[in-house]
Amino acid sequence: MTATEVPSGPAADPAPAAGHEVPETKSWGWHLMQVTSWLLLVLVPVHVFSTWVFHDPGHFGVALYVDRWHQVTWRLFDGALVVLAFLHGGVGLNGMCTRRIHRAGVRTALSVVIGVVLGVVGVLAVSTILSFNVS
Amino acid sequence: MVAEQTSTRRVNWGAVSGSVVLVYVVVWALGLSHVASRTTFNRWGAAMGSLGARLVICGVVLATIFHTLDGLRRLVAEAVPRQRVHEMRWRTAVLFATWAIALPCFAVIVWPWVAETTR
Repeated sequence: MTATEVPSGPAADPAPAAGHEVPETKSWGWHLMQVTSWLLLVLVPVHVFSTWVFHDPGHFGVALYVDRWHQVTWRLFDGALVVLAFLHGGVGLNGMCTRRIHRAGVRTALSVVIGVVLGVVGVLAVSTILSFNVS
Repeated sequence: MVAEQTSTRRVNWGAVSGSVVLVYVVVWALGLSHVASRTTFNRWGAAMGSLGARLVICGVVLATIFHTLDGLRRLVAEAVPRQRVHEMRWRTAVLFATWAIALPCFAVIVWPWVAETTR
């Protein structure tokens, strides 16, 4: 049996050395991190630059989002950003805690707390983004 | 063995910057969920013009740029295994690019406050 289980999380590397042909079974968390990584690679810089660099932070307010959310594309962009960032961050943070905390009970409790906090905040934010009345 | 112990004690800046970005996204999402109460949101927005808030934003921008470029390095290393030979070069390039992009951003973020204060 040559299949190995790869832990999830951003620090799951180092992978086997180059030239080492070991077939691997990657976890669902690893696949989720890969997919969200490629998408967030575009979404997060676009968000940060469009919100804080191209606009003066002193002018941050409702007007920015009223202008922005007139277009459905921006609503979908912001909604996708929240969902993907929370998935990526949740799995990454969970992986980090799993590697550092050795007591199973504490680990489980922390995973639940991370899931609940990110889930509640995510649902609140996405519902606001999709239902906000710009008029 | 000693080298291994030393490397495990090194700060994992990828994880640190990722945590900063996650905290930022949570705070931003929490703020967004109050966008309907316009007065509260605008008061919060006005506070973003202070020097302290601008410096915090600079920290978030730095963490975002570093986490993005470092993540890209990891993804490339995973997709093209022979690039791992050049890992030190990639790490140096990530650090260089991070500061090369971040420093002008800091200037853009902080300058309006400086201009306003010294007017």
